[in-house]
Amino acid sequence: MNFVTVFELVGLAGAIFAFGYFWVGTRRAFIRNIRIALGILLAVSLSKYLVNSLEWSGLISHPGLAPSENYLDAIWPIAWFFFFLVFLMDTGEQDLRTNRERYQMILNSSRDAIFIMDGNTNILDLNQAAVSLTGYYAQELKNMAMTRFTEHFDLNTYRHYFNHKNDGFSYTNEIRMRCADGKHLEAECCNTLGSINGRKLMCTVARDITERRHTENLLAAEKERLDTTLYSIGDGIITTDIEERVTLINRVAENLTGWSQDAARGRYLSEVFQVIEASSREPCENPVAKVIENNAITTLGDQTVLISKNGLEYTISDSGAPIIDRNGRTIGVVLVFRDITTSQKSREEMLKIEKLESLGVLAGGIAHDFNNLLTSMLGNVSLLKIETQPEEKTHKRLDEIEKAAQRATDLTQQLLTFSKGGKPIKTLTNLRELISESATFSLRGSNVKCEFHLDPSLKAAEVDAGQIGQAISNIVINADQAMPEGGRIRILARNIEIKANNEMILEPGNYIQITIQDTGPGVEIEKLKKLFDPYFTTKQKGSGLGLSVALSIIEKHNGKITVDSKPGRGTSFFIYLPASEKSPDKPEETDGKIYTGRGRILVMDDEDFIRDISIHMISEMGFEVETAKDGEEAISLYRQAMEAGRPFDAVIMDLTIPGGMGGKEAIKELTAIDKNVKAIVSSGYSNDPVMADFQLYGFKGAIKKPYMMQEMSEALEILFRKER
Amino acid sequence: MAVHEFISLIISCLVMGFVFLQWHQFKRIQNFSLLFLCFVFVFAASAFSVFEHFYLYPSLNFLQHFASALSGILLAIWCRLVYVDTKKDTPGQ
Repeated sequence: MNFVTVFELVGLAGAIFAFGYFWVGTRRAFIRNIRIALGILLAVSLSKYLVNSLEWSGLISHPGLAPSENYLDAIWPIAWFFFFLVFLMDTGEQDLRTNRERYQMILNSSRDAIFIMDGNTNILDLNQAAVSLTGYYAQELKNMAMTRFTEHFDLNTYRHYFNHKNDGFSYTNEIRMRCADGKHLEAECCNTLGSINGRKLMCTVARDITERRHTENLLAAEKERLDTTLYSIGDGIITTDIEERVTLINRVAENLTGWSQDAARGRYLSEVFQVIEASSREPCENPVAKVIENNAITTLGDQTVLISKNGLEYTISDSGAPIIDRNGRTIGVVLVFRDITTSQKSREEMLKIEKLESLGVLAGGIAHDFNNLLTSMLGNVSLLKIETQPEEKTHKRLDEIEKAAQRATDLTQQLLTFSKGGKPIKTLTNLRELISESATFSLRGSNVKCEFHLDPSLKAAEVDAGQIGQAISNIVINADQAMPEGGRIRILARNIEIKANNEMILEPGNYIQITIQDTGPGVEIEKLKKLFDPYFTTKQKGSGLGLSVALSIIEKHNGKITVDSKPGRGTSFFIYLPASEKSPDKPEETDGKIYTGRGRILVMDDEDFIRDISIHMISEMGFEVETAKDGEEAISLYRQAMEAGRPFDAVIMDLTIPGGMGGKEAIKELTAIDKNVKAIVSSGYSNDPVMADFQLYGFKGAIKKPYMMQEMSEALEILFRKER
Repeated sequence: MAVHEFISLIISCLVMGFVFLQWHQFKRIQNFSLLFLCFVFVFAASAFSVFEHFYLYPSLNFLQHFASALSGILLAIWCRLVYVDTKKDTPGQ
């Protein structure tokens, strides 16, 4: 056996083993076509080695041919080529199939709808999500133009990008789709330009954003509602993050701080919200730090002053609260504050008014008690004067006492005027006397000279003499205080006629114009506007109330008060009061002598000394006097006297009896007993309405305390003369 | 020289060129280097069968049959590796 046969046998053995492995092996190694090609290769190899082995061993022979001349040697490489070729072809096809499956898998794995479209939006391919989204069958959608099931599709933009942009270009848009079931949905599309086999295509990935858009709209509406609410709240609101940077500021806060929303956002709170303590004017504790430290709603201070960007100061009440997120973490602070400047001032003014009212009540009470005391003093003085001769020294001393008591009476009258408030009690009054008396009294002891230019034909006016007197007095005092170094005050009064549509907005008609001019330093025009404001004063001495009280009084009388002033040229006040065509009733004249008569008179007063002096004075006039300490006793005595056949000819009753029935109530009872009762009301409260309109209450006369012998005489004379 | 030997060499050369051209595809065949080596010996046997007629006949003839034998053995080894030793799926399945 030569080496050729051996080698061929070795090769044959190898081929047998190879075929055996192939035959009994898993057969899974290659796909079918490749397995066939490999089988052919192995079969050819096996045949080649087998034939060669047999030929070279001499077991078989082909006549006329050498052992090496069989054609299996030539077929062998062809078998190899066939194997390689089949492998290549089949794997290529397999690759294509794999890629296609992979493509479909990727396409269908997307939860967003994918459309592959040409330049006319014709759909060439799509995924399952596209079918689900639109509700159309896949076959329906293929070759359907997207414009057919969308509304307001911007085809021009689509074509512009499709034709003028390169592969990979991408843009997004939103479309409104009309589904197969008629429903509409919003979709957000990401369109990417690409090409397959040189054909330009657009891959559109569409996502249903209907729900998201609805939620966004709801959120936007909610945010707008919250923003509107926050902006409309009457309190200032500032929110910050935990780093104290402003995140939101509402309109009221904008107005109070002077910072706009845009300017304030992102700035530190201390820059925008500058607060100081009202009393010390020291900066307040950092409100954000305080709230975060407490981690609860915190009131930041009662007396806090906010300094705005432009330097204005507001008294505010404020509080802060932490903003806590859903995880319980503090993510910021909200500050709520309110401008209480006006209410604070109002509260302070109310306190002042309450104090003044209390003072007024006190002054009224003092005046009343003083009047009672003065009644006793003056009454006794007048009695003593009767008992003495005018040339006697004692008589002169008594005159002095009487004068002093009269001055004290004037003072109590001032106190009563001060204590008075409310609706004026109007009586027809001669203003000439009132003006001169008020001004003169106000300038007593002053170094200011007063000149009067009062029209002799000045009309009377329906006024509350006390209140108008006070108004004039306040203006005169104001002028006096404006001229501490002395000066001159001119007071003019004249009748004028006011036409319709006048500048002062007064009803047309006849008025009395009272002008009070001073030669003081005058007032700047800015301060002039505030001159009648309560507590506004340009003087250290003044309280700031005088002119506002004067304004209030004049307006209550349907009048007007104006002011004109220039610095260095003095100030002029003009008072306009409605004039009356009536003349004031002239007081009934008496002859000045002490009236004497016969009869019984009942005096009712709670004060012993008043009753005592009344007994003396009235007895001196020849009358028989009985006294009562209150209304009940007076009624009882009056009834008893009538029943006894010795009725009283007149009754003099005090208006107010502390803790008992006063004259106002008693007269009703007396009138019931005796409709012809002659009663005189007497009171230290000369400003009481009963004193002004005593007839309305059933009295026949009134006598103001303090009264002297002469006044009592006049009152009784008038009472009894009327009866005759 | 027999014609079929020359044809066999030409076909072997074409196959070799074809394999080189699609080398990256054939590399996906499991243990392709071994299979390729097997084919190299097939190619070598074809070449030696042609060249033995021109010079060094005894040696080249020996090498021709030796290469042929080796290719048979390598083919057996490759089949064993692909079908018996490994359970791995080859690409293209």
